[in-house]
Amino acid sequence: MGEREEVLRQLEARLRGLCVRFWRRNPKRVYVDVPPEHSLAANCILYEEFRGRLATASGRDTRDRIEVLYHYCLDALNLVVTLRTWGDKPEPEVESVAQLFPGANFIEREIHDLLGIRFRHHPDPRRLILADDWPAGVYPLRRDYPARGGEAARARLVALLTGSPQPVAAALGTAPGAGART
Amino acid sequence: MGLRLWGLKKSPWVYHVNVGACNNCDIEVVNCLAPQFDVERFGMVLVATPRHADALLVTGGCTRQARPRLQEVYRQAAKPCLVLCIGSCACSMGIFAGSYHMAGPVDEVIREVDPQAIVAYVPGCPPRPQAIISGAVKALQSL
Repeated sequence: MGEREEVLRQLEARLRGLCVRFWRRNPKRVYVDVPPEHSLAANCILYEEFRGRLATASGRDTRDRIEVLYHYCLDALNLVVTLRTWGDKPEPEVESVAQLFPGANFIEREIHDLLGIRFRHHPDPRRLILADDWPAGVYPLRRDYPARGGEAARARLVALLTGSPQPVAAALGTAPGAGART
Repeated sequence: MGLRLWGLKKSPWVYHVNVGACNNCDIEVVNCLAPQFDVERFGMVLVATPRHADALLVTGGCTRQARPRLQEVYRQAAKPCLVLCIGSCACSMGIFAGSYHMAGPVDEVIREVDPQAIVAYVPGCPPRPQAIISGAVKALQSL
């Protein structure tokens, strides 16, 4: 589609200098790696100049850093552009795009809850989805968070089906208070 | 059979509690109440407060945030009170077992408050309305 090509050329030219990589994964899907210091500027360009709609944002733990991916839909062009930025561990930080548009507010709070990346200048950085008694500084979707449960859960299911339910919360470590890492 | 038990079995009033379900079990519970299955013909009425309830229909594996709330709802319900765990998650935490935000299956959370609680299990993802009705009938028969 000619129009999409034209817009992509403009976008690549506009983001040159801000991004370290402009990857056309396929005709409809583009990934742009933006260092954290340029993240806000790049988001601003996509949102205000190219009229991108922030479909959602997602986060990833890649062992030495936390990535945040902002997925913009350019609906008229049938195109999704993903801006990928990152913050280095142990205290990852990126600039919040919720300053630009309120639609990013909740998803950034969720990413902060689960992955522990701090969004600078976020208008309302309170906890969103974790329980009120969840210990501060513990991020459940980090790679170093201990996974557990498979065997004990299966044992419980068998016990239930055979008619003798056994207490299992303690064995699973899912009782409140357990699993808190310091 | 005492008068209270007779009344309970004749017309159990139910209160619906979602403690972390994906909403699918809730849809089936509502389906029970809607005209197609119409559990009101068995005297089961959905009530708006646990203080009026004879049975709690609990859906979802109990999350950490919901745990104290479920226990408070159980404390407020008039005794004797049936607890119906609707769906795989409520029965055994289902695929969420071992997940970071789970406080335990519903029966254990309830038994922390009342070890003698009467708990019935209706597994399924989600259980069909027939299964829910059958579970409720079996639980009442066991009283």
